[in-house]
Amino acid sequence: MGRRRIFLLLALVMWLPMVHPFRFPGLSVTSSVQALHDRIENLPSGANILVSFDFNPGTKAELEPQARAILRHAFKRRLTVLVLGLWPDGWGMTQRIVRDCAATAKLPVKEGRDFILLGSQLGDLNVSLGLGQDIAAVFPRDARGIPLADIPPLRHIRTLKDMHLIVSLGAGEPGPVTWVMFAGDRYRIPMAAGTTSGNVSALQPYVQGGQLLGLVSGMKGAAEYEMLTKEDGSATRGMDSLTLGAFLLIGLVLLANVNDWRKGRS
Amino acid sequence: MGFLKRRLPLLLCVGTGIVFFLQYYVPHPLSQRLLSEASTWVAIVGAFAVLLGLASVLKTHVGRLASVRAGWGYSLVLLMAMAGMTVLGTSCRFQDADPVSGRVTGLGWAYTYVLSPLNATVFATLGFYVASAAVRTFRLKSLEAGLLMATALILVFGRVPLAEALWSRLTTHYDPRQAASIPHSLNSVTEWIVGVPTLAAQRGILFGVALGSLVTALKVILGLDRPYLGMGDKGKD
Repeated sequence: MGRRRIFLLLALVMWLPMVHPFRFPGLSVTSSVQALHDRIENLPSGANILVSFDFNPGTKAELEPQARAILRHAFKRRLTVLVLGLWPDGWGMTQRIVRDCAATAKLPVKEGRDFILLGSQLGDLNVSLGLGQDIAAVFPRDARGIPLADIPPLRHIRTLKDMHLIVSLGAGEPGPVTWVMFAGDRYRIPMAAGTTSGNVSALQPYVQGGQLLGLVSGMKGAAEYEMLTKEDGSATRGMDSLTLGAFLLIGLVLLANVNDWRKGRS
Repeated sequence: MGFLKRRLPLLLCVGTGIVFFLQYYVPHPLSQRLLSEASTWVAIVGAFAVLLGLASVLKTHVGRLASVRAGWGYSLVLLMAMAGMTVLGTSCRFQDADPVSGRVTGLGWAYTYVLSPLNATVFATLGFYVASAAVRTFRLKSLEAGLLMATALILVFGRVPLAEALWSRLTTHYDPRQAASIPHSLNSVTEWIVGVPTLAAQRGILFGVALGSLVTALKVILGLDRPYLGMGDKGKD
């Protein structure tokens, strides 16, 4: 089958559930998603978590649903969420996602009280190491231009060591591995990550080694998280397209092999 | 000149390398302040690297445009986009939105409606190419190719809920006396593939990379490898 036909078929089967959702059954939760959910669920109200958006719009199809699911859960649990980014070209997107989550949260969520947008800085180890010394030295003002000293929660949060959990969402460098090496391991802070389906195997050693307590992988991981928090988000809706796309791909591979076998016989 | 060109950079590299190697293990406030200071220096050096990269891009593409070599049109688009984003960025002090009124700036508009969709589109098209490549390459031509194909198909199946439901149905209808030995969740099969054989290979790669990085770092710190002297092989004694 020609490449163009494959492209067309794939586009069709992935578009169809967007206009007519099927809601396929059978989604089950993996242990690493459950572990992250349970950690956030069991944190006391007012605990501090840092969410690092280490991606740009290129991977937002998989990572944005994860970010939204985790942020909604954190806001619901009344945690103080600090947000930053290690990829400057993703910062505009990050601000939009976080503010949108806050605006649509069931409980009232206020910037500067429940969440703080610290900003984005180019670099990897110097940012995470710097935050381990003094957050205000790396980000003197928040995204609104307000000095950190004037933001009430940040009077008690001075360094990374005041965090109860760090979640890095990313699929490259700098990203989750940077945070594991220069924050999680160094300052003994519990860490979790979210990544794309294609990058799971690169982070799996850190999960098995206990350096990452949880790992959300791809859109399926986000859909699992949404299932745990009983939210009907974009990942749950996207699973229909993913399902049909996967079935089409497998069907085409099998068809091509049967075709080869028939040609070989004749 | 020999001292300034060769010995001073070497002394700086060896000294800095040893100091920051030890710094990692010293929690004293002075050591932490040193790290904080060095982080600022790293950011400043990084900014110079960006300038150098910008100069290199400009030189390449202006040259191609001036000599009307193949692909000059792409160079023109790149230079126009660079100039456009620079003007938009500097005119609004690199803010996506006005901090007081919240109004989206020109940079914010270009980011949301040009850069962001373009970036996402490039990544999304990869999915189509991967699908097409999979159909062409996953063929049962040998045992190894068959194993690769079977593993890939299980992993693709394991990422979708409907396959999970079908697998559950299939295994629960099996002889109940043997049911305990059958994985009832497709997730457990995919988790095993990712968590055992893939992880073993991944660990091997990680160990290799870590050992290689360690050796390279040691060679640079001890002055055995001197790429920063810019003399190629002459940098090595």
